[in-house]
Amino acid sequence: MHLRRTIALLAALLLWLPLTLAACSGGSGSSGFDAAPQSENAAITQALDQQRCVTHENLQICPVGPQPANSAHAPHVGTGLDGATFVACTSTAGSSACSFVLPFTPDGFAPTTAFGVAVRTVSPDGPWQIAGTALANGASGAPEFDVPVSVEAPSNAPSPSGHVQVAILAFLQAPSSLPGHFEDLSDSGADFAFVTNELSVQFAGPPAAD
Amino acid sequence: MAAVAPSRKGIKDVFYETRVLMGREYTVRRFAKEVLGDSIDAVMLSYIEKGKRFPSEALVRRLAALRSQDPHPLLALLWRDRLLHAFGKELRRVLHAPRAVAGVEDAELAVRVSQAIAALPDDGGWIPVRQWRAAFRPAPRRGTARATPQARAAHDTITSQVEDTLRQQGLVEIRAGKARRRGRHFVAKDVEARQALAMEFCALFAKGLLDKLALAEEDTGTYLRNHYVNIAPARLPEFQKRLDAALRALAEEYATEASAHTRFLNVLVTSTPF
Repeated sequence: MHLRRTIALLAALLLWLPLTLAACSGGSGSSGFDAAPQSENAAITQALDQQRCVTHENLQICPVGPQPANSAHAPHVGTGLDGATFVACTSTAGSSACSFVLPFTPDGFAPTTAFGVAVRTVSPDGPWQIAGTALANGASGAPEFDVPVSVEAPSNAPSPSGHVQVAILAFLQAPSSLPGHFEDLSDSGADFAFVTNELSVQFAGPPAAD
Repeated sequence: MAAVAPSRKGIKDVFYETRVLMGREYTVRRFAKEVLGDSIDAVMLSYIEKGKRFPSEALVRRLAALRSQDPHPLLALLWRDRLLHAFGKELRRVLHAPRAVAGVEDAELAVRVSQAIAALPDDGGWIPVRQWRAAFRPAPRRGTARATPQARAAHDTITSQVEDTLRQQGLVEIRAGKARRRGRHFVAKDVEARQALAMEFCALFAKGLLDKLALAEEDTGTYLRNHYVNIAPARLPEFQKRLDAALRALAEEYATEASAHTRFLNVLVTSTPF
C-alpha cells in the first residue's frame, strides 16, 4: 500500500514537472534607437569606410590604426598592417597554407585585457578562425604582440593569391575558453574587434635552406 | 491559465468602463446628466471617452467618488496622459512626423512589439502562432462584450504590423503554424517606429515618476533611482555595455510565461553624461 502510494506520488510529480518547466519558459527582450547596421559585414564596412568605431550586437568594431575620429581617448590597436592592402605570406613546404606574423600594439586598455587574433578569407567570406596565441613583448605598460597567422591557400585559385581580413579581438575580462572558429565576430564574446582592410595575400615560396 | 496581453489603460478608458459597467441604459447623455450631476455636457463626456479631451481634476475626483475609490490613482492616470500628450506634440516637431497621431495611442505599435518579443521563450523554443498572437493582441475595452468590427480591424492591422516588423528585423521566425524568437532587441528605424517607441518610453518614465510622486503611499511596484558617477569618457562604452549585459541577464533569469498572475515589467534605462 505504501509502495503503491509512493509510485502514485512519483508519477504525479513526473507529470507535474514538465508542466512547471513549460510554464517557466518565459521570454524577455529589449528595444531602442541604436543606429546599428543590420549585418556585421555592414558594420565592418562602415567602420573601415568612416574610420570610426561602430557598435554591433554589443561588439565595438573599429578600424586598426590610430585613435578613431569619433572617440577621443578611446582604446585602439596599431598593427603592421594599418592601411595595408596586401600581406606577404610565406608558404610552408608541402602544404597549401602560408603564414605571416602579425605585430600589434594595443593602447588605452586596462592591464587585465586579453587579446586574440582572428582571420577569415573574404570574397567569398569564410568563418573567422582563431590564429595563434598572442605572445606578449614589450614592457607591461606598453604591451606589444606578435601573432603567427596561418592562411589556407584557396584550392581553386587560378593564381597563388587570395584575400583575407584580420581582426584583433579585445576581451575586457579574459574568457575561460575561445571557440576555434565562428561565423560572426560578435559570436566570439569579445568586447572590441579591430579589423584590417581586406588584404590581398601575396604567396611567397618557403625560405631557402641555409 | 491563458496569457492576457497587459492593458495600457488611460483616463478615457476609466470614464468609459465606469459608464458601461453601470448598464446599457446609461447612454452618454444620461450618464452626464444623472450620474455626473450635469457637471459636464454629453458632448464633452463623449470627447473624454474617446481621448479627444481631458477631464478636469474635479471631474476625476467626482468619478473616483462614484467608484468608491481613492482619487489619486485616477489623477495619476490623468497627469500621465496629459504629459504624454504634451510630449507627443513636441516629438512630432522633433521627428518632423508627417501625420497627426492621437494621444497615447502613439505608443501602441511599440508596446505590442515589446509584448510580442517577450511572449516568445528566451530559449528559442517554438510555440503555436495562435498562442503567440493572443499574447500581444489588444484586449477589448473593459465593459464591452466583444470588440466592434472597426476595433477588430484595427487590432488585426496592429497585429500584422507587429509581425511584419519583427520578421523584417529577423527577430521572429514563423513556420508551419509555430513561432520562435531569432533575436531579442528591437531597433526603431523608420519615423513611425521611432515615434511609437519614443512615446512608449515617455509613458514608462511618466508612470514611474508619477508612481513615486503622486502615489508614494501605495505599493505600485515601481523602482526609480538615479546612480551617478564621475567617469572617463573612454570608459563609457564599456560601462554601458556591462550595464546592458547585467540587465539582460536579470531579465532572462526572471522571465516566466505570461499569465493572469504575472505582470509585464518594463525596465527603462538611460545612462547619459552631462
